[in-house]
Amino acid sequence: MFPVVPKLTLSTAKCGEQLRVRHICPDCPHCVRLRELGFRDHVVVRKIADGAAVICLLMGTRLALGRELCDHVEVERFAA
Amino acid sequence: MSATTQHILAAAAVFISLLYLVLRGRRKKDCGSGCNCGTKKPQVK
Amino acid sequence: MAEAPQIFRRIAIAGNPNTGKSTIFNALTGMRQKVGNYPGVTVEKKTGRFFGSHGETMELLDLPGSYSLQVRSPDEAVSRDVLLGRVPDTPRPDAIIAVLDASNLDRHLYLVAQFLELDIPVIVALNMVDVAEQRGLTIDLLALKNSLGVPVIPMVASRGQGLIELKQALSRATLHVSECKAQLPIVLEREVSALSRILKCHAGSVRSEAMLLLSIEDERLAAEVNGNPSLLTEIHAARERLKLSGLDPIAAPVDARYAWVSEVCASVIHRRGEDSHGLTFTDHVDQILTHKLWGWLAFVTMMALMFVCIFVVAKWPMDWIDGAKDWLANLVRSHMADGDFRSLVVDGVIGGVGNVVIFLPQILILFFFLGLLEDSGYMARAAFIMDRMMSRVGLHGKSFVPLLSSFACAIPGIMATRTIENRNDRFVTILVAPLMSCSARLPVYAIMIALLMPASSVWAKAGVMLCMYLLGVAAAFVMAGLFKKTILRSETPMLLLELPPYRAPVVRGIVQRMWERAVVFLRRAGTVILALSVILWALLNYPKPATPNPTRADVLAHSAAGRFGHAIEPVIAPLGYDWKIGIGLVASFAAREVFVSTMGQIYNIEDAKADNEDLRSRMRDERRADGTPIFTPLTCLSIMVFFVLAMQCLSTVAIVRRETNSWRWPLFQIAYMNALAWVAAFIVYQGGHLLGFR
Repeated sequence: MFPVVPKLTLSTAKCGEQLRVRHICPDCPHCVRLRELGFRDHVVVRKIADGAAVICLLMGTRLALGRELCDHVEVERFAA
Repeated sequence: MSATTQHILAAAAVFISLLYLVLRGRRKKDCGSGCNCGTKKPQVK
Repeated sequence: MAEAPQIFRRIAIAGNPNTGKSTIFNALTGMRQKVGNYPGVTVEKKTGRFFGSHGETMELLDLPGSYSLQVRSPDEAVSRDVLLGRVPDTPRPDAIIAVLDASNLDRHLYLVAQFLELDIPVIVALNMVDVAEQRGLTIDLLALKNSLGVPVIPMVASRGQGLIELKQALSRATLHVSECKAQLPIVLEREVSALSRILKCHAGSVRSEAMLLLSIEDERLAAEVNGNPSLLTEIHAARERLKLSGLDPIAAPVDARYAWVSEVCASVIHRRGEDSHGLTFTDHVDQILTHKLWGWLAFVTMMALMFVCIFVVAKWPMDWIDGAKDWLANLVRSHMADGDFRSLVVDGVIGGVGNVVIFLPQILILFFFLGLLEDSGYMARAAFIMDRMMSRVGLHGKSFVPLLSSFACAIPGIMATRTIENRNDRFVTILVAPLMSCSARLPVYAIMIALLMPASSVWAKAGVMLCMYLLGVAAAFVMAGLFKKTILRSETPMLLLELPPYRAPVVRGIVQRMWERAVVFLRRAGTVILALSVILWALLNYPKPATPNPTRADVLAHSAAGRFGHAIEPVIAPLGYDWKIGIGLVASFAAREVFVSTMGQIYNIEDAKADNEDLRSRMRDERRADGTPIFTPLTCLSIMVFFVLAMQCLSTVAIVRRETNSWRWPLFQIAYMNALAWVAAFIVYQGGHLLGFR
């Protein structure tokens, strides 16, 4: 049996980390807007603040995202 | 200024004020932003 | 009559939010539309005209910022509808100026990809090239022009750079539709073509309409097709076919456009040196201003500082205006015999208007600070730190921007709710926005605070004023929570907000807005307030008592306003108000500031000997029949609380009617706010009495 590794999402990732988007939930209505804002698979984001909401830096733009929305963005750690 | 003249002038001022408020309510003024601020559109540059 | 000039070309300015569209619009037309450093400054289309390079008349349409034509909020819908030719009174534009932020090209080109699908000539205004340069980005303009197939004009709109070139590009005899477009998957193209054939809309936009219908979410689709069942069936069938061929109809066009954008960017953007991932100035500031604790502290400190300045700095100009008012009144008295007209000029005109104009300096300082917040980029941060609190009442932080704008005036605040996606959330924000203390309440607070604590320090006075503003915020939160749980239920929305980089506020722009505000305020004082003051004077003086040589107090008691005040006294007595305050309260429903001018008139009429005395000291000396003072601290507090919560602005009612498209909501708003104001003032006064306060 392999241990179950919890999915790393934008809300669970550590602040200051460079991350790469693995997958965005296709069902959530806000996810279309997320894609249109540039949250595509394999794009690199950086989480810069964490609180009730999350601030991340994506293609030079700071975006504030609610935690529930961040749960829909699956990421992986990315070494520059 | 006699008391009668003052009466007439005061009555005229009140009448004009009333007229102004009524007409203002009927007139549509718009700066284009829909804010009811009453400013008109500026001219073409 | 002069004939209206023939319009050579109709041009729309469109682009992502906060890219400088309104700055370009203002520079071209000479108009002064509001600009600011936060997304959502423009929420309605604005029209202006300018002359092209050859003197031809062009019509320019400033559209609200939008991230995509697949809209999510009413302000974005305005842009989409204009570009697709859906607005009956607005012809489809002949060309689009696509405004892009050069420092953020890879994200902003997504919308350009959609514009290129519209079959309208596009001209790219590549704004903020200076910022891109500072960030080490070099953009190959020729390569960009070739990749997009449209003219590209580098600009720094805030400094007017590139405007001439833009005008020249717009004045060309013919503008071509670009052939360069994002390549969509062939199966999707096939479905788009099939759907285009059955759609009945503008020939130029039919392909884009078909694309939008195919890639819209199910929840919005029904509203978009407007109850056309056969069209709905066709769309569902097309989507099923796409899914069977392994294509997500919603994600596929987005991915295809971004693939094209990546290709374009790879050939046009050159980065000097390594892509720096270090923290920028904005990141450092944000670490404090968006911090869980420090962010709040910074917000409250900024607000407190604003109110201290309102008291400290405004004191001198207010004293000058007061002196000028007394000088003018004395001049009239010394040159005119006693009589009705002199009373009208001195009490009605000079007293009525002067007592309102005196608060102009305080209002301008409020606008100066709000201008700083808007221009610096802080508004979006305020929305961010408020998100946690807002989500507790079922709204998201975005709703806080309209609420913060309502500190200046509820009307732009209510207009700003168009950036909110969900209808119910938008209506909740509209319903509570007038609870935020607008600048018209400032004179009432100022005079009541002066009565409440005449000898206290400015810090204490500013503290009380801050409390009044915070009371409005708290009431807005509580009511929003209540509405979200009852009449306007919906799920708590998810926050998605762009935080613009901090920029140094342009003092000239702020001063210009203060000047405009001063002109509007003085015009209002010289027209509506003046007319209302004159009518109030008549109501306070007529009918005259039949007794010979009546005292001033008799005149007031016998007057129409006096009788009305006595008639409503039973309703307001539990709040600690006498019939004279009642007159002011009723008059303030025409305009809030009129309360101050009414009080000025009442006490001028009452106390002829004390003509030169300050209104505040006259109010302080006012006594009830039993000899106790009327304006006790508790009464002053009760009046302020009433003004914080009451709905007394006809312009706001009109704008709520327009924005909600119904009389139901403004009437409900009037009812709930005034009931809330009465109950809260009652609790303050009677509760205070029970606790032993006076």
